[in-house]
Amino acid sequence: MFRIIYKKELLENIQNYRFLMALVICLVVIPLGFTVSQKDYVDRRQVYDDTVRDDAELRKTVQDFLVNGGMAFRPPAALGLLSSGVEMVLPNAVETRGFVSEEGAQVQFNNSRRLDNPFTSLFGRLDLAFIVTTVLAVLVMIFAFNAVVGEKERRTLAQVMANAVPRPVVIAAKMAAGGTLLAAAFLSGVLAGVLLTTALGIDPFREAGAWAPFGIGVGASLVFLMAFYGFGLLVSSLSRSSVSAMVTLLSCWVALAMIVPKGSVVVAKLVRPIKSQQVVELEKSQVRRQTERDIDASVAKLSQTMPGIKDMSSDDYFKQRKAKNPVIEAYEKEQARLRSEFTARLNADLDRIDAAFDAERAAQAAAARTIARLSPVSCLVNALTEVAGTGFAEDESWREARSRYKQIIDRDIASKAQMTQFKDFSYGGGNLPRKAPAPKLPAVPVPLEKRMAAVWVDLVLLAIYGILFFAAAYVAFLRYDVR
Amino acid sequence: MTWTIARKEILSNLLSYKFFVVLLLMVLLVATSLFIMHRDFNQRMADYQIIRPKPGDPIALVAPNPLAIFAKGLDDAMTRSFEVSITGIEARAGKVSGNIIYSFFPAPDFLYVVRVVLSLVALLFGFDQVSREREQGTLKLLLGGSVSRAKVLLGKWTGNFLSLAVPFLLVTLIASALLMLDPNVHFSGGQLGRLALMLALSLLYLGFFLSLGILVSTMTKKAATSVVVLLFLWSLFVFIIPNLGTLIARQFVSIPSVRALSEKREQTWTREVLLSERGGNWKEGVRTINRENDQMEQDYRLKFERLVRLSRDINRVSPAASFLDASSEIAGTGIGEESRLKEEVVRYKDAVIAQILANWESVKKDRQYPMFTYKPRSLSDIFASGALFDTAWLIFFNILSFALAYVAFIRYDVR
Repeated sequence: MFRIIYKKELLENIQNYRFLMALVICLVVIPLGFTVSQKDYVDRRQVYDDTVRDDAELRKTVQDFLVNGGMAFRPPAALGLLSSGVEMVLPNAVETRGFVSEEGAQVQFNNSRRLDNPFTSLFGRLDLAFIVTTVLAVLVMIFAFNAVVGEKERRTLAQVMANAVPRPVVIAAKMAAGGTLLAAAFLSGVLAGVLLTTALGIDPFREAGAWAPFGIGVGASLVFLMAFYGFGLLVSSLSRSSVSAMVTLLSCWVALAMIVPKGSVVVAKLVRPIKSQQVVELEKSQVRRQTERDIDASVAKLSQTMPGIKDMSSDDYFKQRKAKNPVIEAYEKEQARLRSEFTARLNADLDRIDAAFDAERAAQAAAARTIARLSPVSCLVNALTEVAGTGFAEDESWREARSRYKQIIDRDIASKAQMTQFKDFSYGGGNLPRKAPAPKLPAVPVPLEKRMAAVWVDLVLLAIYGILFFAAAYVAFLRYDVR
Repeated sequence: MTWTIARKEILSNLLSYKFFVVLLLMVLLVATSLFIMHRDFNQRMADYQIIRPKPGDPIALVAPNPLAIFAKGLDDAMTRSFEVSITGIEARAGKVSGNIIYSFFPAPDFLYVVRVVLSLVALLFGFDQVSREREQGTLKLLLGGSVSRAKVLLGKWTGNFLSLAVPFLLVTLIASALLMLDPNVHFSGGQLGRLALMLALSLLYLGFFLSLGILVSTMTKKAATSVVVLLFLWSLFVFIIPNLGTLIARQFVSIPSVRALSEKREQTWTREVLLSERGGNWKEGVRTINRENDQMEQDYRLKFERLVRLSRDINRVSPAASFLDASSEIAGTGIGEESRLKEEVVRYKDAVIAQILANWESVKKDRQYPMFTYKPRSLSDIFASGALFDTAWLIFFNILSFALAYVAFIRYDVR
């Protein structure tokens, strides 16, 4: 019996043009989205490759680094076609600020970018996350809105139920048939998109390891579509007319796709307010200034109290230094110890401020994401964004990269730029390995396992939503008055 | 008779579950959108206060536009800070505070709500206007009397349009009035006028989708078929054409990459530095760098504007693109306004560099530069440069869809 109803549902959907329309929409929108996203990626990748090549020429040695400042670049995400996420707001480079002194480098994000396609900003990005949660979600509503109530209106449901057909079989067959057709249309669109981008030579699979996240993204989208179809069946089984089912579905879609995700950010801001980046920078600069003052005071105290040094004039000091006076050498050693102590304290303080701010930010983001998970739309967007490498894991990794870059510069340059002060004179820095290769930040892509660790909750929740909606539709259909 | 039918439509809508849900949806969407965009505006104003240049700094920066609460457009790009030096202009993100989570789920602005969601709602009001009455058999009864088909159609359109437009206007006006209670959000008289124009355009846009719904309803025998066809048209107008237009335009107009431009700039810079090191005049070198960069920038802008023009012309096949284009231009956050701001920034840069060259001997930190001021385009300029065409185009779409619906309804077999 299941097969008969399943076949009837398939034929009905094919005959009333729904499937044809869904197929046409998928075959147009998905390849179009893939092509637009990939063309954009290829352009940005070209810019990145050129920039990295030029940078290698410009900053060959430590000397070049000292003259031009340091810079490291973030490669664009190869799978941005799944979801552009925060790709366009993540800084595209980190750079050193000012001179690298013995107190360590100041490394900041570089946000300079040019608006190269105003239409993208105006119309939004046509990535898979958007296509599935907006265009295909509406398509699913069209498939589902009168799946049950439509049959009631046409009085065919009463006829079916008058026979010895169990209700679970009817609803399961409807779910299976609708799901099959949606999956067929969606996967055809994805396949067409892959073929088109491959034919144009801009497919994302030239990057190593792109297939697995792409497959996960497509699979997650499919689960979402099934879950949403189950939701459609539920609403259809709870409604008395097709129009009210359609209106209810539309309202629910708006709430799930627009209100819950954005509302979650607003609620998270209220529940877990955080300082602005500017305030944090201010705190850090206060700590730096205070440390500089402390260093100056300690060095002054040392030069005023150290026997053999305290009464020395500047001229005498430098003459004695030339003559390699052990007192001067002891003074320099003691000052170096003091400075490195203060530098260590400064770095620890700065790290503490950064860590506290990062923890606050992460807690706020986690709160927002948890609330957003009330909607399957957010779960899908989260999942696609993380597997595409344009989500929070990327942001976190880029922040770690900034810290790592600072550590590399501190190790290779700042620690060797030891200065000594005597009265108003500063000297030193002569030990810098000026001809050594400039410090580089090695690119460390976020591994798929780490990205999966960030999204498994969303993937599980998507599956749970699917089961839950279908179970609810099943119960509603059991109680449905078919008259 | 037209008004009688319109009244009947309004009453039947008022009593329907559909109207109640749609009203709830409008309240929720418009309120949520304006609330979130209002918070975003306040945040950007706070950022602006932090990064605004001190008097004498050679930085061009404009304050966020309060109308961006309704039409975000390119306001983020326009409120970046443009730092001027002898090397040229460097644009930096205007936003310095916040969490990346804020960008994760972008806020749907008012224009997005109208363009995507309310257009769907308008289709929902129109999709079964004729086919449902035919299915129920009431159309036969109605046309059995002496009432003309034109009056029936006009009555239906008027009734449904009012059912949609009145709550939409009420909700938007109440939400806007609440917004104005915030002393940080100050709308000038001109901006309120612009807001009224945006609302008028929104009504034109929704009117088109209602007519389209009725048109498809008169061409199909079943409401379910009408829904499927309308969804396809909605996807086509709202998503496919606007993206396809830009893609097609890129095949015809090629613009140099940003990287190519920056390479050329670096080449010019290096050449002049080397010349000055070999005894050339550095002041003259700066002048040459500036002149050549300006020339290159101008060439780029010309090509870029050709691309934008062509994309815009192709996109206009869709009323959604015309609506978005005209509304964002009227709000002062559109492509034209952004382009004009860029021109002003280039002019400002020229003035700053001229001043640097004139006071070449003075110490850098003692230099005081003129303040950057930007006056947005007037409405007459905006209309002359495309918004008038877009408005006329939207009116044309309305008339065309209604006329086609009329023709289809005249030929409609009501049995």
